[in-house]
Amino acid sequence: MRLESASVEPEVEPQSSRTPAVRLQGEGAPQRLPTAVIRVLVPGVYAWLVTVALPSAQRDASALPKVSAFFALVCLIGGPVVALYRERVGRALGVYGFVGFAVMTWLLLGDLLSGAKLDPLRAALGSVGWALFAFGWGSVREVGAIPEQDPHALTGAPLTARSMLPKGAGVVMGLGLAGAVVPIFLAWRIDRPLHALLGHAVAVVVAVALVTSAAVIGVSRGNTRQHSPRTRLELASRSLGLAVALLSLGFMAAMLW
Amino acid sequence: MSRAVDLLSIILMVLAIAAFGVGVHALGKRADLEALYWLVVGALVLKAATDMVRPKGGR
Repeated sequence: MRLESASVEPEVEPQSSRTPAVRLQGEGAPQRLPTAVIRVLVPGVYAWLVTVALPSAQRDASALPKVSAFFALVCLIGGPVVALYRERVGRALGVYGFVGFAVMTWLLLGDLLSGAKLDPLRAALGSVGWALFAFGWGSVREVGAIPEQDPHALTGAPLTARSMLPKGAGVVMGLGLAGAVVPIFLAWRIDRPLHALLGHAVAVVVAVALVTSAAVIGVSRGNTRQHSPRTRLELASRSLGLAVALLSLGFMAAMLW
Repeated sequence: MSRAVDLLSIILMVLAIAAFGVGVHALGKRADLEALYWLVVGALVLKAATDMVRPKGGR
């Protein structure tokens, strides 16, 4: 219906153009649970169940982490619901309140939450739930919303791209993204707690570096005509030479030992 | 020739992914020195791959 009116009448009325494309809050009293609330609640409840409720439900856990976990759940559910009426308060409750009580639960659990006692698969799935929860609070375009109706939208002729992406840029980027997952996955196999923490930190840094480099390699290919291949090889020779030297040393050490 | 250098940079990126993977895997195998070795190799190879497509000091 809204799409039709937009296509028939290009001149959008000022009143209708004041509706932002993205919002968690509905106009007046909500008739049914908005999708934005479900988008926050479903992954949030999953993340809470796997990473907060289950560890605090252990037999050895005291009452304090259980109470904290309960308050985390209250914030998780209350946040998006309150945000329907008071967006800022609801967001503070749903994000800061929930994360705050979750962290407090983990701190109160202490040694009961050691890396050796955690199931790696459950922990990995829980982190996925947390990531989806974070995305749920983000500003995703609502289904049926028209971005051009946003009052901040720039009207006029669409801007044309100054250049095209080189052929195969997407493949290189995909390769980098797939490669970035490898160290993150392997980090979950480290069983020593302190080393596991280091492994995860290293894996995140490596993943960021790989994605960034993949983007640079994917986009910059073909835009390097001002440099001769010889110059490009010379500029990379220092790091490449060091890598080859290290590999040779490693090979010799492996042969000797 | 320029395409060959482009291809080399992609191959180096794949080698860096492998080196990082072996490094983190070695950390799980309690071989800390080996892990450090492969992570440094991976970082150097990745830097070389990036330098090839985006030479900073080139004329």
